[in-house]
Parts: sequence; C-alpha cells; structure tokens
Amino acid sequence: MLVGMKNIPSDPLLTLVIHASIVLVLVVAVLVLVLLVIKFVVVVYDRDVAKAKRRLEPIFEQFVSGTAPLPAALTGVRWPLRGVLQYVVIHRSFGAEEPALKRIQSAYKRLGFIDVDHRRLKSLFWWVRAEGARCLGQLKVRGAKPQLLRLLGDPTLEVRLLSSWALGRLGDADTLQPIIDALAKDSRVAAMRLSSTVFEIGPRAVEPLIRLLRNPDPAQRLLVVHLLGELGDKKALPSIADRAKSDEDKEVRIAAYKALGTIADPSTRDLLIAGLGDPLWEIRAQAARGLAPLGSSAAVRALARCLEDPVWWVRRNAGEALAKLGEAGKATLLKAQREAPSQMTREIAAQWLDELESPPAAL
Amino acid sequence: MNLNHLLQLFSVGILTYFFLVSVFYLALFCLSFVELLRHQLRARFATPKEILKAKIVPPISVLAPAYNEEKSVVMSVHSLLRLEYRQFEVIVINDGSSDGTLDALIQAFALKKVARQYFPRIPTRPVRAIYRSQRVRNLLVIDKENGGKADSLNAGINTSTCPLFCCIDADSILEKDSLLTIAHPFLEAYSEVVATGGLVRVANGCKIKDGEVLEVRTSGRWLVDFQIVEYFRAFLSGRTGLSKLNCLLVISGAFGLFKKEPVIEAGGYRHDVVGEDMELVVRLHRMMRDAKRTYQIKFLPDPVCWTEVPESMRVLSRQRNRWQRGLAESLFHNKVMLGNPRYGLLGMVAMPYFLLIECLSPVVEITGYAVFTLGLMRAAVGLPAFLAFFMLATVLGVLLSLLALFMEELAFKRYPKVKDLLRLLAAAVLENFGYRQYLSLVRAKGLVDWIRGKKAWGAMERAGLS
Repeated sequence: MLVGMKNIPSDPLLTLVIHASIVLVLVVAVLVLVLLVIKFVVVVYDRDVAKAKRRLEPIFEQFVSGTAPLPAALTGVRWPLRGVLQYVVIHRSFGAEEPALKRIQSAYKRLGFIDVDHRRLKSLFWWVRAEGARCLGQLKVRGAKPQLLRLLGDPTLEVRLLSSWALGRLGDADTLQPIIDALAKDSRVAAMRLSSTVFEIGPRAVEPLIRLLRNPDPAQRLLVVHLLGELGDKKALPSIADRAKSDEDKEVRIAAYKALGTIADPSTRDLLIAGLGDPLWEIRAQAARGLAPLGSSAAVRALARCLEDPVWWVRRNAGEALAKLGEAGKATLLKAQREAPSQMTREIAAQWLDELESPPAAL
Repeated sequence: MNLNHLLQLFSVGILTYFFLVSVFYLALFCLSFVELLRHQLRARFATPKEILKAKIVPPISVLAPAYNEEKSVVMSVHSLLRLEYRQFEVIVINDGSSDGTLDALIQAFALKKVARQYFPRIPTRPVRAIYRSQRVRNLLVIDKENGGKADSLNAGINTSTCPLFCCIDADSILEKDSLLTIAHPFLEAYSEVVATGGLVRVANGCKIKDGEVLEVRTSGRWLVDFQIVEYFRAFLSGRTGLSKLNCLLVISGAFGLFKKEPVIEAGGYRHDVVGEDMELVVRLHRMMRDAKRTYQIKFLPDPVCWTEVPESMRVLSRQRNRWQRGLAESLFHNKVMLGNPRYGLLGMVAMPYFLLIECLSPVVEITGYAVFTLGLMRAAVGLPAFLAFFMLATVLGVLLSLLALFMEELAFKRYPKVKDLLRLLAAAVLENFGYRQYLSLVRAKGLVDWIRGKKAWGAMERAGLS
C-alpha cells in the first residue's frame, strides 16, 4: 500500500498496523450495527407487547370477575402472544384474594402455563429457572413443591432465593429446614429474602425455627435467631434467651441479644441488664439498645454505668436508651452531663439531652 | 537521522499506540457489556423495595459538602431527605461559605446548635458549630472553617455515627432508590465490600422539580450533549468492566458509598490533592492489598446521581484540567503499584492503563495530529498511514461513542423522546470532530500544569439545578 509514494520506504510493521486498524474499525462498525438492529427489534417488540396487553387485559378481567369458563379469545392465543398472556395472568394475581385468586390459578393451569414453568425449571439458563420458580410461587402452585425443593440446591443464588420464596408462598413449615440449609451461608440478601419467606408461612414457622436453634451449624443458628427476632413471637423467648446466655458462637449470642431487644418483652429485662456487664462490647451495646422500651429503675442505674463504657457504641446506645426512659432517664442524663468525671460521658449525655429537646421527627 | 525519518518513526509508534489503545477499549467495552447484561438479569430478581423492607440494612451517613451553594443547597437537602432507605442521616458540611449557604439552611430547616460529640479521628480544619434540625431528626449541619472538599468530607466522617458513609456533591440530586441500590453489594458481602460507586448522569436540560428529576431530556446545547455521551462512555463502557476485574480506580466524588473504618484507617481524604476522590480509592486498593485482605470496590450502573455539568468551554476546561491533574497526582502518590505484580491485575493492568492511556493519551494524540499532518505535507508519511490514524483517532472514537450510547439505550432507556436520541446520536458523531481534540489539548495542559505544581481548583460556575 505504501509502494509508489516518493521517499517512503515500506515498513512491514506499519503495514500490519494499518491492516489491523481497518479490521478493528470494521469489527466495531459491525458491533454498532448489531446493537442498532437489536434496539430496533426491542422497540418493535415492546410496541407489539403493549398492543397485545391492551387487547388481552380486559378480556381476562372479564373472566376473573365472572363465572364463565375461559373464552376462546384467551385459549386460542398462540405464540408469541402466549408469553404476553402469561404475564397478564401473573400481574392480575398480585394482591388478588379469593375467589378471584382461584379463578386466576385455574386459568393459569388451563392455559398450560404451569407446564411451561415446570419446563423452565429444567432450563440450562439460571434466569429462566429463576423466572419459572417466581411464577410458580406467585400462583402458589402446590404441585411444584418437589421441584422447588430440588432447586434449593441450585448453583445460582437467585434461583435458590426465588425457590425459597416460592416455597414460602406455599405456606408449608416443613420446608423451613431445607430452605435454611440452602441459604444459611449466603449473604444478608439471602437472610432478608428468607424473612419474607418466613412471614409468608406465618406463626406456623415459629416452632420449626425454635427447633432449628439447636442446629450444630452456627451459621444456621445465627440466621434462625435473626428470623425469630423479626417474627417477634414471644414463644421463642426462652430459646433465644438460652442462646444469648450460653451459645458457643459469639455472633449467635450478639444476634440473640439483638433479637431480645427487638421483641422487647419485660420478662427479658433481667437478662438484658446482665448483658450490660458482658465482656463483649457488641453484647453490651445490644443489651443497652434492648432496654430502651423496657425501663425500670434497675435498668436506669445499669445504663447510667454504661455511659462510662470505654466503647463509643455502648455509650451511644446507653444514652439513647436513657433518652427513651422518660423522666428517670432524663434525670440520669442531666446528672451525667453535670457531674460525670469523664468528658466522653458528659458529651454523650449532652448529645442525648439535645435529642430529647428536639421535636419528634417530621419530613 | 533527518526530519522525515523522525516523522516516519513517530508515525509508526503513534499508530501502534492508537491501535493498542483501541483494542483495549474494545475489550473493556465487551467486558462491560457482558457485565451489564449479567447485572440487569440479576436486577430482575432483586428489587430495591425488598431492601427497603429489611431491618438488617446498615445505616448510612450521607455527607454533602457545600461551598457557596446558597442557590441550590436547600433543594438538594430536601431531595436527600426524601431518599428511600430504612436508616440514614444527612450531614451537610458548610465549608466556610462566604455566601448565604448556612443562613439558607438555618432558615429552611430550623437549625439549632447542639453539643454534638465531634471526634476528629481524621484531622480537619476547626469545626465552628454543629447544628441539628428542629424539624427533621436525621439532618445535621456542620459549620467549619474553609478547608476544601476533602477536608469537609473528613469532618463529615468524623461526625457520622453510621458504619457506612455516602459522599455526594451538594448540588447533585440522587434518585429516591439510589441509596438502596448502591448499598446492595454491602448486603451481599458486607465484610468484603469496601466501596461502591454509582452512575452519574447529566441533569442539564432535564425537568427538575423540588429536587426530583421528572423528565429526562437533552439540553439543547451541543457542549452538554457531548458530555452526556462522554459520561456514557466513561461509566458504562469503562467503569463497569474495570469493576468486574476489581480494578476500579475511581469512584466519582459526586456519588460513592464507603465503609467508614477502612477509610479512617487509610487516613481519610487527602486535602493536598485536587483529585481526592480517585486518590482515596487508589489508596484503599493499596492498603487492602498490602494487608492481603479480601475486598471489593465495585461500580453499579443502577444507582443514579444527577449532576450539573459545565455549559461553557471555559468552565469545562477548568474542570478537565483539574481532573487531569488529579489523575496524575493519584498515580504519582501510589506509583509503587505501577507494574508491580504484588498488586495483581491492579498493578499490572489498571495502573498502566490509567497512566499510558488516560494520562498520556492527550499528549500522544496531539503529537499524532502534528506528526501526521506534517508528515503528509513532507511526503514522509503515506496517505494510507494518515487515513489509518484518522480512522483510529476519529472514526473509531465515533463508533465507541455509538456503542456506549446503544448500551445505555438497551439497558436503561432513560431518554424516551426520539428527538433526544437523535440528538445524542449526532453528538456521538460530532464530538469526535473538534470537541475531543480540544479537550485533549486541555488535558495535555493539565498534565503540564501538574508537572509545574499547580494546585488550584478553579472556580466552577453553576446555574443551579431547578
């Protein structure tokens, strides 16, 4: 390419770079075209889906609110509109109560979508499996329980989470153990999702969870303590208190004190007061936090001593608890602000007295 | 060796450099695209609302340094207070403003001085007073002597009571669920994640009311639209890929979430640099790797911060000059990591990338224009070589901008109007003919200014988001 230009020697490296540059530019240009085509297809698809939804939603709504069987306008829907129809049905099920929910479930089955979801659960792609689990859970398809239990062993976290959520929707407390086995070592997100699963099951989850507190795996005990704290059922208090006093795992003990504070039952007051003297600062901090709604003169005296704690979080939580303990707490803070020998104590007391003088929060 | 030979030598070198840079950008784009796709798939199955319901989310202190922001600070604080998150506090740090910033805040939020404990775990300029709002419990305002943005952030860190802090610019707007989404990685792996960065979008031209972006539009000014495309390229095509490799060297100062203790351990923000945001992130990487701790610093494309970009060339030039100086400083202060296998991919890939490409490419580009133009005139460089340079310097730039634009369109579709999309398409093309070259000159000057020891920030004039 360079031959023929005066005084310019041909350079193999230059030639190579020029040719490679042309190839590179062409590759990128093709990528741009591909993305442009994809965008065009997406725009057309979205428009068609919106149009199909506008047509199908009123027909389905009429079916749900009536007693007639599924109309042919729905049973006759073919691919690719079947995908749209499936989600029209799913979206209609959000917040639906009996008898509408029964009508929706029967339609979902009659239209063959349960079979579609079952096939999805076997897909090679994790997002398809997850979506299948989600749809089956949303429609509370009991027949999917064995497959959903199997998916608790899926390598992808999202699939495990959605399977556990779907199992929670079915409401069977006997699924708790396998769910916790599957998710105990996962992230906080898993624990959070498990909360919604457990709430779906409701009070029937308490007894199985209490039994799980004896599990040898500390990660499971930790998760279960969190869940029992969130459920707030007082039946769990003796078992949680037991974990708080004597669990061999430090994190489980801390979580147990936190759960006791969250449930806030007067029967745990003495244990929380005892926790203010624990060697672990995290337990002292949780115990201080937990005493805020409980109150007693013994608690006030113990919290006053915690204002001198060397760890800031303990002082902070003790100050907060005193600020919430009415006149006795306020008097303690005032005394600490004026008379405490340590500046740290005086300052934390001053800080919470300032908080007391602020009006309630308003946005 | 005569001038023609020199020009030929340079032309081969510069062409090779541009080719390798282009290959790298393409590889980074592909990595970013795949990662964005995976992220979007995962996001389908985890909504921010679930995090909102949870009781286990870590509390966050939102730190908003403010210097002479009286026009926009009240609106910005209102928008911060409307964030959807279970437990957070907003700390505005008035950095010795000479205008009515503090007065505006006192009036708008009924602030009252409090005896709030102030632990200067990181040294800062003196704090004059700490105010708490009588109307809003989770709003604090620190009034301090002027010390710069880094100093303000350090004061905010010292005052915060939460284990995480989010740094934002006082004139930026966060979307309501931004805290939820930027905190998500901390929920997934709290002990590992050290910092997360969100996406910064251009607010100029958007319809904004009461600190909320109601309608996303382009601004009608080419300068702003060029920056919109640039931000797509930088964030979506660049940071997503670097984050995947755990080689993200910069989290935008306009929107980042950090775990407080590692930042304090690292010494907080340096106030003797202009690019304190990047410098901190690089230092965090270094500290964690030196201590051989497992960690992650991530970029997420969902949490969005809207910010005002310069609308005049003068202000834009000052900004880019400062960014270039900040980049050079950050690399210089942590040069021990450069090409050092002890720092893994960070030392062997990310640091060289930032040095050889982000830092030096303006100089190479300008040299390239000079070499190839002169070479063509003197017949030292052939037309094919000149065209190859033009393709790599300009045409490829257009294509990479288009790729970033399409990636944004496919993943987020934030610009619903066709007119805006067409405008951005045109901007993606036009920015490569003049605008980018001008910025290369500005950045090259920035590098020279850094070598000469220039430290000033330069005044950033803003119209205010409203």
